[in-house]
Amino acid sequence: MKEIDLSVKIGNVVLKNPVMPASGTFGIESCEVCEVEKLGAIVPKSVTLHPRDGNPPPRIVETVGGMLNSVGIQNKGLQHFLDFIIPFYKERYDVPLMTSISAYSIDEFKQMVQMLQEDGRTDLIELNVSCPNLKAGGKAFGMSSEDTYSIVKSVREITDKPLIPKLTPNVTDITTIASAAEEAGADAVSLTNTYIGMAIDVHSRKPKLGNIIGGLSGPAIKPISVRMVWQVAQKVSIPVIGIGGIQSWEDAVEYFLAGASAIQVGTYNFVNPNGMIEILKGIEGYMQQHGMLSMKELIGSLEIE
Amino acid sequence: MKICKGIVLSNDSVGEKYYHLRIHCPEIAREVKEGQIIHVRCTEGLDPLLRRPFSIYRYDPENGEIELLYILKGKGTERMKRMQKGDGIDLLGPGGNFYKIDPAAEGIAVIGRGVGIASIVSLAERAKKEGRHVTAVLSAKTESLIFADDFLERIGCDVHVLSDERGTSDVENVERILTESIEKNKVKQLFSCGSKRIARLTREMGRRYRLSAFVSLEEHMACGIGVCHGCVCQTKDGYKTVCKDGPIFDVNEVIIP
Ligand SMILES: Cc1cc2nc3c(=O)[nH]c(=O)nc-3n(C[C@H](O)[C@H](O)[C@H](O)COP(=O)(O)OP(=O)(O)OC[C@H]3O[C@@H](n4cnc5c(N)ncnc54)[C@H](O)[C@@H]3O)c2cc1C
Ligand SMILES: Cc1cc2nc3c(=O)[nH]c(=O)nc-3n(C[C@H](O)[C@H](O)[C@H](O)COP(=O)(O)O)c2cc1C
Ligand code: FES
Repeated sequence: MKEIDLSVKIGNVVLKNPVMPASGTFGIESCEVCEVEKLGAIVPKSVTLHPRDGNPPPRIVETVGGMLNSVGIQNKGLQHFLDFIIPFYKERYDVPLMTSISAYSIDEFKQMVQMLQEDGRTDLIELNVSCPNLKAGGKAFGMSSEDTYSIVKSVREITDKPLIPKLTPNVTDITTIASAAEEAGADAVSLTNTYIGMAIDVHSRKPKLGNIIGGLSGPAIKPISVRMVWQVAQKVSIPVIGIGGIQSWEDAVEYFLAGASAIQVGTYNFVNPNGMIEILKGIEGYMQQHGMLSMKELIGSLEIE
Repeated sequence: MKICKGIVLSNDSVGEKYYHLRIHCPEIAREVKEGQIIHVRCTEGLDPLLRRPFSIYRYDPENGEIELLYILKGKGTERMKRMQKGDGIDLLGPGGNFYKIDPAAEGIAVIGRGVGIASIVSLAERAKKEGRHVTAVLSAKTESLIFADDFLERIGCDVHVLSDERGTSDVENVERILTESIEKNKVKQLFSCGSKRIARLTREMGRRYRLSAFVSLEEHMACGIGVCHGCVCQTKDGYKTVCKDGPIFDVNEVIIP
């Protein structure tokens, strides 16, 4: 039996397989209950330049087939990340580290990428552009092609690490944003982040989230994210990382067929912290069954009559 | 913290709304401590999606058994109700911190309200095994919602059953019972679960009598292991996670709303 090659390339970095966690759903504590060494990449929670407290609780509400969260980017800031989080993963695992950063201005993005570049231990950089641009009235950067272009362009000049803007689905046409990212020099795009939603307690007549609105994730969003991945994969020539509602290898394979080169698992990590490894085995089984020897044969192999 | 498959030993209805679930799961029974959390996957399907957190009710490391005591609330617990002897059950745990008894405490008081009683039973049991005095205050809307009183009496706790229907569960009455116990039984620590009013009372009494007081908190959870920051509560040092930093907090550290 021939060995199946699950590796994929993002920029100049080769991942041994296409399965990784989605930012915000995996952390140091996950390592106790997940076979991290088997992952294609490690993606920690988004980090910001300065520490942030996050939003007032309650921050989590379960909805049918999904959940809303309004955690906000609670984190201890980039310096803490460099001092503690990076060494934790690097000392234990020989797995590429995809650092997810978030910022509130283009200058902040530049400063953070500069620090990561000088530090050197990050292998890939995911740019979470779903944060509000505080210099432009709070609209998320990722909602505008121009802002997305400007961010990618300005950090591209500073780093040779693969740059992966993570796109928000809360836009009219995600393909124009993806094209802007590609044109500005992105090595890949990942999509999608969460969908803005809301839930109300009819008895108290209050919003269920402390922040009133939050991001919807989980199986409920999968068909919409698969559609976006399919549209984007046709438009751009850089790899697409598919995210949204993946709970099984079948879900993952759907994304590959739609054109994703790799996938991230989010909410399902909460249900089954070692689920990513089971999904990985399932992908391999599927490829074997269909006589596919490399990811190239699987990616984008959707058949349309 | 482990993901384990346990086997249901029994799942019996207790009183009006409660169920008592006994599970064979040696991995967790060996590790778990009083007050810790077990996250149950209620279904293999997608609804409900997330695990549900429960306090350890009792455990027996020698026989590899753990017990949960749960109240029927919604989708998840309705699913759990249907579990039968011999069924597999997917568990994540034990999570969070645990109740710590001060070795110098001759006596402790535990106060549980409603299903919060579940969390303090194993603590009372441990304290009795260690030869300490235990005052157990069990409070609920109705007496039919009180459980474990017989068990706690049998192991020698000084048990007080209070209910709204009898008009005995007001804070003043709890205060009177605790005051008496502090004076008579050298109670040095107060532990409560299930009532913010009682937690505030233990804070006040703790200050007055120079005792330490702890509360076990609840918050909606997603990951249950400390990575998502979904379950935070406000403390003097900023937000802390109930699933990992808690569920047990010093009443002087946490902001009780
Ligand atoms: C640390 C901790 C210990 C607990 N110990 C016990 C116990 O020993 N016995 C017991 O009966 N109950 C306990 N609970 C409460 C228990 O988790 C909820 O009753 C249960 O999640 C309800 O699930 P459901 O699907 O039946 O109800 P749902 O229909 O989902 O919701 C009913 C209510 O339950 C609460 N709830 C729902 N989802 C969650 C969640 N993910 N996390 C927390 N709360 C949620 C909400 O307040 C909601 O309004 C504990 C909760 C926590 C946080
Ligand atoms: C609790 C929670 C926290 C999240 N935090 C982040 C974050 O910090 N940065 C980010 O880019 N995405 C974050 N996300 C979005 C996920 O990475 C992912 O894009 C989204 O949840 C969709 O995938 P899923 O359906 O598999 O969960 C978060 C999601 C959840 C549920
Ligand atoms: S539930 Fe995720 S941090 Fe507590």
